[in-house]
Amino acid sequence: MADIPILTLLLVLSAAGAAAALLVPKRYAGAVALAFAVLVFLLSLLLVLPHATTFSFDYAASSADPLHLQLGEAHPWIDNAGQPDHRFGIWYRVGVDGLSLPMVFLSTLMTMAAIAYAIHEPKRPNEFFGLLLVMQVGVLGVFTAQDYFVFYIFWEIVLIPMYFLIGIWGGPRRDYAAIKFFIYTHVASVIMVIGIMALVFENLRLTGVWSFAFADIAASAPQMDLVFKGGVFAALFFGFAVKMPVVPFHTWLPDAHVEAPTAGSVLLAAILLKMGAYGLLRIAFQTFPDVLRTSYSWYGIDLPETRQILAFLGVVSIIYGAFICLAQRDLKKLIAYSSISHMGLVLYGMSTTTGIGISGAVLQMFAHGLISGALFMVVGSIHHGTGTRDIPKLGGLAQRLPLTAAVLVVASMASLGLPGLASFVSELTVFTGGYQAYGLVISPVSIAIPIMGVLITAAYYIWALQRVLFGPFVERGLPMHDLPRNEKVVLLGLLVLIAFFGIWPAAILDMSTPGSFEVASLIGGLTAGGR
Amino acid sequence: MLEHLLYLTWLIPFAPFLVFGFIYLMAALGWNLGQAAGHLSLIGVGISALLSVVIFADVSSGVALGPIEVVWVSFPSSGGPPLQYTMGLQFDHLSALVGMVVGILSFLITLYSLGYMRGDVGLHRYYAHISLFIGAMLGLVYSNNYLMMFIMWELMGLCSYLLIGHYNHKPEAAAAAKKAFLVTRIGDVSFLIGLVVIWNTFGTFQFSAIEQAVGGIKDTMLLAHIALLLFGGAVGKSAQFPLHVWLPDAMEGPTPVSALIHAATMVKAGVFLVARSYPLFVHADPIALTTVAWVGGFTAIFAASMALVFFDIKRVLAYSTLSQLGYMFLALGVGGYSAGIFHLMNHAFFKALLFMGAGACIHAVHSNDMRQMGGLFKKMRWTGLAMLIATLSISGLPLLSGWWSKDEILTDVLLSGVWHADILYFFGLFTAVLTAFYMFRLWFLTFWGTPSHHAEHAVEAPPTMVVPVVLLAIPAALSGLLAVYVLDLPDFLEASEGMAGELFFQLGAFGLGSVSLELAGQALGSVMALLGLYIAWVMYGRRYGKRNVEYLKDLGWAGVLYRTLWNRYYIDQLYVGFCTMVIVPFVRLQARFDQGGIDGLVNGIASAAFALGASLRRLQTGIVSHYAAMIVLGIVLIAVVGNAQTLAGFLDELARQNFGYGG
Amino acid sequence: MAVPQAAVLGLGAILFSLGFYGVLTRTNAIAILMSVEVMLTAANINFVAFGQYSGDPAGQSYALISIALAAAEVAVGLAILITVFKSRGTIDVSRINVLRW
Repeated sequence: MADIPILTLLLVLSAAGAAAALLVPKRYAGAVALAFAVLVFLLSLLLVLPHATTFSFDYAASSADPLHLQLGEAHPWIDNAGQPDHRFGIWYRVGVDGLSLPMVFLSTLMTMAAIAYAIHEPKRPNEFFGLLLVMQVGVLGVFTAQDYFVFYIFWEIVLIPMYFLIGIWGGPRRDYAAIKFFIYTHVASVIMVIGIMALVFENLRLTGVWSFAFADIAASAPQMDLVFKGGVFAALFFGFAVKMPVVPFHTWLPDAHVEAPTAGSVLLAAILLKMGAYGLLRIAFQTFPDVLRTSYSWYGIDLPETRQILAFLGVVSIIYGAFICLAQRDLKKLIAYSSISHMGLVLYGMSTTTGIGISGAVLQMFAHGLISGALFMVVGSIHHGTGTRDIPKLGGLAQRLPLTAAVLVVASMASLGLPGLASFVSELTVFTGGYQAYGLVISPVSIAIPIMGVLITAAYYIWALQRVLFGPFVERGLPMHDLPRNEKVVLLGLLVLIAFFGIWPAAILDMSTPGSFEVASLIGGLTAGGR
Repeated sequence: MLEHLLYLTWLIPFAPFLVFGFIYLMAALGWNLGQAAGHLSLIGVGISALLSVVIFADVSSGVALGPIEVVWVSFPSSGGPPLQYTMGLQFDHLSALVGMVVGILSFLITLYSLGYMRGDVGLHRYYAHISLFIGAMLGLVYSNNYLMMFIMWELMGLCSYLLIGHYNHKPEAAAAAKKAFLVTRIGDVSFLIGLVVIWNTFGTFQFSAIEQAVGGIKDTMLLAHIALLLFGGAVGKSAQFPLHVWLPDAMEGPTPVSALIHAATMVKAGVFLVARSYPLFVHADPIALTTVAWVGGFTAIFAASMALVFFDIKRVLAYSTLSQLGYMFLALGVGGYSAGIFHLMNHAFFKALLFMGAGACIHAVHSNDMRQMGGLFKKMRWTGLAMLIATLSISGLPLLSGWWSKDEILTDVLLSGVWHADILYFFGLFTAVLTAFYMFRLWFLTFWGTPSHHAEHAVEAPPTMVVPVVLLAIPAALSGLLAVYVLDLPDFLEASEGMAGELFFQLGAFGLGSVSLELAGQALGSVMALLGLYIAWVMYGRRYGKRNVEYLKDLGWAGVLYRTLWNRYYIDQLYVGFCTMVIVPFVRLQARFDQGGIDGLVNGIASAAFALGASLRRLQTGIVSHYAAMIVLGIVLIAVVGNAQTLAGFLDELARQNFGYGG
Repeated sequence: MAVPQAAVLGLGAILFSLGFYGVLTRTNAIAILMSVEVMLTAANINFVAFGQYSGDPAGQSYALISIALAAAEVAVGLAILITVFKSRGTIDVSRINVLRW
């Protein structure tokens, strides 16, 4: 049992699901896709549950040696090992540790939820569900890859289905949004790949061996020149920052979200944004821990420590994203901008380089995945149910669509960090880490400013709830309906999970804290939980 | 009784939580429980209330109920034991006393709701939220650490939001709910920062561990920061100046909600938080307690002044609540720990009664406006009598419960060495006059005089409403007497905290502390209350409609004062103005910057690429000869540029060979 | 009698330039094709010349291959011209510009 290549199995099953969804008759496409998604989800659930099977994640081993990969697989791919003229060293390497496992679980969960939510998609269902599953292949690959080449290929695979999902099933400005999404994020990945190639060649120069493995390059990274590493870090960070997205590289996101179909928005917010944050933690932080604590000077200007630059960008994203939500009229755009704010919190948490801050950031990634998914779904339902997403045109929905209203209230509360729901503990831990790293008011990135984001977040959600749900009902003569059955099941299920992970955050933190503290100690940040 | 079944105490918060979950589960399955939800809530709350009474009995008879605790989240720590977030309950004298008060009041008000809310369309929502609220409030009271307290604190905020907005089709209710949530959220953020600092200072959230560690911390300014951050939370939740604006608007909620949440329990959570954190405050720099005292003292007089002019019965009571909460903070701030908690308890009883009585009146005349009432005493004798007792009590007439705690507060102010205690004492005394005045104004306007035509057909409320009101009249009158002579409250509380009385007076004696002064002070307090009563009698009781507060409206400077009060010192307008004139234009501008500036740059790069392509495409003339020429040009260019050095050498060589010169 | 290398290369250069001039100035596609042939011939002369003077027969063999390829190229080129003439009625390259911007 133990040598079942379970991670490859996840990828293969997703790909098989995609093929099956494309091939079966139209009316079965959704059901077949859902069946495969459920299967993949159940497999990943076995992976996550402690002691469920012999191939489950070993929590004890993980806390003993946090960044040690489990369930690893490695097979030579573009590599002539053993030949005199050794070339490329590209291997198919996958594996998980406590930092990637929550993301794998999140991906399978949210893909399943998105497929179930959109099960009645009338327009070209084969392609629709096929693309959703192709995207699952891509994201699972990104979250499990341990080789730069494999990582990059999966990273790019994700773009293509998303491009088509926006471009074919999107709203009125879908062409613009799809092309913008594709080109913007693609430019970012190209710059990222320049960084990757630089790393591979530098590693070749230093060791004389071709290798694309994360581990090999991280092992030779300490010998690399600090300025060189700074440059590569910048290239990688740009690639990840666009994906996260970090202000000011965020403008593709609102357009993509507004135009994408609901299922696409869900996956975009819940999973795709996490790829950037995950990449930052997995690659940039673990390969260049020393860069984060280095102060570079650039054409004679002395920059602050790199991590403080990241923290500053995080703070800007939090506040900028939150404020701009107050100005939105389109409910979906509001939630898109709120994602920017929440991902800013993730960046801020990581930038603290404290164990507790990084744990909080990982938890925030997971929580935001669930919550933003639920929010986009309920906004999609409001759009279906009333025919509009324009906040001023809505009003008093609580009287006519009580279930939709209840779901929106709970999801908003979760998003604004209400205790007992998923994102409270992550906020608390991120700010605890922020205090350890930057203090209360002593620096521009101290917690006093980002914590105001919590307040502004409450303001835009509560204001939006007031305008959308409460007050007198505005009759528009449109047919209105509350949640259909499949949407109801999916949304209530998500709310239950949001509450579950709020009440028992240790379910995720037990996976992620050992790794987070290990990364923090690599960087040399505070590793204790307090003091 | 409970020492062997300690785990049962988890039912205190969880019995109502389960009711909440069950009601919504049924609703999700399409089964609206309606009035049955009320009975379920009553059962759930009843279990909690019973347990809280049992705990009080146990604790007051000296049985030690050890804290119970579970680990919630655990973080590795280099070298030490792992640092943990825990969830736990503790049963000391403070939590036992406050928990019992909350439990009893919750039960009575749920009972009252059965009558008051009957026939409402959103009954299942109402009872679910009330249950969640009661669970959270009891969870807060019994929690043994700041984290759990904050969680419960926020859940109460959510319930308050949902219950204020219960009549959500009314725009005023929706706006009031929003206001309540956001204004308290300001305080909550302060509390949250406080949590962060506490964790990083102590490495734990547990009250007992912090109490032990606090003496060892020499940085009193750090402690003062923590204390003030926590107090910031309390200011929000307990609606002290300048975050007081939400509470009067919160009266848009159903009246039992006003009674339970916005008078008896939730707004006391801030006071409770400060009391809970007293070791921190005492060890911190005196600036912390001084701030508490001044904010409390100022709010007491400030809110009481606004209570003078309004006609909405619930609004007057809301301002009164603000003012009384100010008293409690004043007490805590000057070191009167037990006085503050004592007043908290007494106020919970009589203010809950007042709200429930007001609810009965509103129920009878279908209006909140006291001018629509009048003369109700003849129709509603039970309610009127109970409210009279509560009014006398809150005004501080001797031997009634309010008198005991209020005088203790005033004495503590007098004896304390806080910065300008004399001014605070004056605030307290003057507030006593105002309190007696506005409360009797309320009572006379409602129950005395000639009935308005709305009030002519008023009848006494149903038993589910009258019984709790009348029952509450007993503690409203006697809780002070009982607490002092049966329980010996100051000793009871201070023993539990392990803090000797003199600790509170570290601030330094006022200088005049003596028994005679204390007696004089008490007498003065009672005289002030009688003075207020007399003015109210003259203005509203004896012959209504001649010389009264409203008469001032048209009198020069007094009119200005009246309008200032009527407009609530223009503070609400200030907040609204800040939001609409500063925030909203700013975010609009920012949105345009986002679209035009940042996104404009992105699209500008795209347009530049297009423009470049558009100009370069001109090279594609479609004429073969041009292409051929370009190919040759290109070849020549590559040959020349790429081989410039070789070419130069070659030409050099050629020249040397053929013409015999050069190199 | 040996012709100097420079003279042969000069001939090649002159022929190439003539052909190039023709390619650039003529608009008749057949004339262009002929000019291209002249350029190819110039290249062939250079092959032969270099081969001769370095004593390597490879130069001549490449010239032969090049001639064969040129024949094939002309065949394809003329075939294209015939189809172009059929579809557009002209072989004037200044008027065949559908691939223009």
